[in-house]
Amino acid sequence: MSPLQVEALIKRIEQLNPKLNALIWFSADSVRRQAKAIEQLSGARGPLWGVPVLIKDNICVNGVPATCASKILKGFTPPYDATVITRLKQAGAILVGMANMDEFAFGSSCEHSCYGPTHNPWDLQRVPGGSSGGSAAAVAAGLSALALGSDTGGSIRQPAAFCGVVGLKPTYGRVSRYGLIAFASSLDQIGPFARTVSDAAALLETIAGFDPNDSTSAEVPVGAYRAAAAKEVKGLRIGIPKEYFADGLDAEIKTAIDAAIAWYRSAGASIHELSMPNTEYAVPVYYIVATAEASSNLARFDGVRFGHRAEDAGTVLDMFKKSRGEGFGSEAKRRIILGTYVLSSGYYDAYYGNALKVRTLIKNDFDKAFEQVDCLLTPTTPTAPFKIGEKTDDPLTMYLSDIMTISANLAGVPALSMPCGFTKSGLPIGMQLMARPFGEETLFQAGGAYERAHDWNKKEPAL
Amino acid sequence: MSRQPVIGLEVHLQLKTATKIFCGCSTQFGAGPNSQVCVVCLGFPGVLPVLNKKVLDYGIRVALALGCSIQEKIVFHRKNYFYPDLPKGYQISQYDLPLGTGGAIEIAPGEKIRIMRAHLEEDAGKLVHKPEESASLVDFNRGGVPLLEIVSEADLKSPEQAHHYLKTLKNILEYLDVSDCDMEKGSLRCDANVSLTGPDGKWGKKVEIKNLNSFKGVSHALTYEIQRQGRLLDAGETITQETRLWDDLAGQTQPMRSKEDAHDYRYFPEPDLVPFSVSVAEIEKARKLLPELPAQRAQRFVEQYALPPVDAAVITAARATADYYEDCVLKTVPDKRALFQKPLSNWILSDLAREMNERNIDSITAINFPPENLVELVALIDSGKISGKMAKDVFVEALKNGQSPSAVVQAKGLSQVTDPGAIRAAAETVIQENPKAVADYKQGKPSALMFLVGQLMKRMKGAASPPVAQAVFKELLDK
Repeated sequence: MSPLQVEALIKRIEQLNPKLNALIWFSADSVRRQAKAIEQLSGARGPLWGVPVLIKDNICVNGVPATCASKILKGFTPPYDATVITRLKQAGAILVGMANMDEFAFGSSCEHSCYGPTHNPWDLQRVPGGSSGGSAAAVAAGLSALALGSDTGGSIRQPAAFCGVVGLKPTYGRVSRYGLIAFASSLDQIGPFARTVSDAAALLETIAGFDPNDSTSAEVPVGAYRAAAAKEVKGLRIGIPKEYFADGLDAEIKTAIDAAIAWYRSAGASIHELSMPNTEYAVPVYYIVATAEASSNLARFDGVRFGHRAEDAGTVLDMFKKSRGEGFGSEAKRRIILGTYVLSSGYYDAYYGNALKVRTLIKNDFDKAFEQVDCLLTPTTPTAPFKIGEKTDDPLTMYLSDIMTISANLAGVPALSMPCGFTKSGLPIGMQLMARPFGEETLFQAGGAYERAHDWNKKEPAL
Repeated sequence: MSRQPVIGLEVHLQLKTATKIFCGCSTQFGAGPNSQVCVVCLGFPGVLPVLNKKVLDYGIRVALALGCSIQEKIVFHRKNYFYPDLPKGYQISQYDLPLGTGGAIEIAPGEKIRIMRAHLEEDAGKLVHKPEESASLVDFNRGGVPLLEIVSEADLKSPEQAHHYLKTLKNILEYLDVSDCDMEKGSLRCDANVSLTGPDGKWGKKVEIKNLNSFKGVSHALTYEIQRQGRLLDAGETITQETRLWDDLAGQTQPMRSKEDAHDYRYFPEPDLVPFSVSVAEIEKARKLLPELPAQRAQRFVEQYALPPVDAAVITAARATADYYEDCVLKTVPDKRALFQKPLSNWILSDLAREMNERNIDSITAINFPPENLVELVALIDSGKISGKMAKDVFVEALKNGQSPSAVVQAKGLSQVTDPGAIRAAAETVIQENPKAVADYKQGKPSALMFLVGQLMKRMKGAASPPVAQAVFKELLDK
């Protein structure tokens, strides 16, 4: 960015963020400093040099507060960089600030934040989706060219769909989790938000790759994602799993997806209807596996070494109880209790043990599907963005809004959400593409070709 | 009524890798509080563990030496509980798939104790209580130090046998060179499970004893606990299944928590570490690289140094002692080795062992008497410079002031006189002063000769060589 562009970005953030509440930490000075500092970087200037990237508040940046939008981590400043941050810094990206989210990534609406909800740029009365709602809203509103989010059950794709931007959950192991404050370790992945498929590809190329600090990161070479995004789809085999088109799917969304399918057919791809019979178990399996891991991952927030510590505790046990009781919000408490329960002695086999078995079945569905097709096309969400406050009292309905996205996390496969239309009332609609593990190139190919033929991303929210 | 104690021991062994099990921090003992920590072992938000390969190598080495089979798939689990010294709120450990299972060690000929399992885990930090400030501090230097937990089957039947098992286990572990095995520094820790059989032979309720900080503590605590349980049962009471703490000063166990208060650890597979396999080839390679263990070394000592099997077994039990012995043999001039190998062993098994016992020394290396000194001492006897009896005093003196045996001999003028010419004059005086003994000798009483030699020794302050003195008397009196 030129100095003028830097000031324009700062001005836009200062103007629009109060309306959106997408950024929860922002320093104009820091942005100016970084813009100057990257001039000194040696080496070739890659595609991310000088590009603003907003970071979700659960990714550690040395010296910048990371709170997971939770009171329990208020005042915590990580003393180290996440691996993705190291890679962004080396690439000369400018870290714009930290993005709002549901507390500890527990949510689908960005309402469960100790900083208050983020608003959807297309309709400020509505949610931006979650948990990476701040990242999605900021990119949609032009507060940052790119953003990082994390996706455990749809936390990148669902807000991308709700905000009309591109969001990708990479294959499990594609991007290092080192420095991502864990929600559910076997499901979490960091991924990109962008306005276009090729921008998302450029961001993924920068952050992906094996990391010796993360034993679950894969030693698989990083693909040529931008090149893939320029390819055509002739001959591509696209599967349409019927379970994703069941009751409850909004009619306008169905129409938009059908139109996308028709376009792919016309572009020379072959369309194959297929079945993934275990899809209906994805939500219950997810809420067992994810909460179990979360209950353990969140045990470290005990008031001993960092974050909130209760003032008036008499004993150690008291300190644990009060610090956690005061620090965690209601959704975090709900999930910790649920996760503790499913792992407890006498219940483990019935819940966690069985959930792991069904998870394998869900994965088998994907393996079978990918024997026939190169990628799957589904809606990203069953409905358009809902109103703020509409579902907060009904956690179960909220959980069900993740129904389209959860399976990809359980199976570990990559999944992309991109705009494929608008409702009559002007709300964005997203479609989801899923591919086999480490098949990100297929997603960029299918997404890039569709994007070139459509102009959904040319529309901008009126703010 | 005979109630049989049923005892099982859990040993926690700190593996002496240079760095911790899941991060690159040093494991050095004794550094300043929280000076050997990083974001990973402090459990900061966002960090991930990466297994230290050396820890796995050491674990496999121990498991193989204890006769265990190595698990096909290495899986870590999270053991969840809250405690201020446990930074993540869970300990990364192993659960239903421990690294090694089904081993055994022989603690005496024909006496085998089975090893149930050996598993890897990370150590916790250490709490330092400051009552005067009504505060507790946590030192995380120890957090993340690799541990191998070795669990015996409940095959042990007495405190003595438990002690013997521990000692044998420690000896084996020392041979493997994977741990300092120092109970005082906590690199070897022990918990005990003990119950008494009922009249029907069935095992009673199990009590776990913690805080056993020495071998003696283990014996004492078990003895105490067996008596306590016996008294309760005699009085018709029942045993509570619980965990008790051993108080070394008070010499008793105190309740710590009952079964009802026991943690539900909510074990589940650690998702941050991917399960992996150790190939059969790797295991066989590790087996080939196992060092010589006590039993094998004893066998070799019998063959190579012609030691009696019992001596060889005792001298090889502790690695340091066996090393000391071999060092002595090596420092002996080659053409004397065959002659010295037995006396060297005798000295180690008698005088040096006594010294260790009396001063309660654990390792022969802690004695201020290096191998070259023992070789010198044996050589002094062999050359006739000092008698065997004098050597014992020289040994004591050398230990006391740290001098070499020759230096002691020189300083005290202890050197033995072997020149018959130098003894003759004194012998003639003794003959003149003891006519009765001379007469007795001439009448054929052999004890009279010993009496005369004794008198000579007194006169010469013990410096005369007894065989030479006898020869001189015979020469003078038989003329």
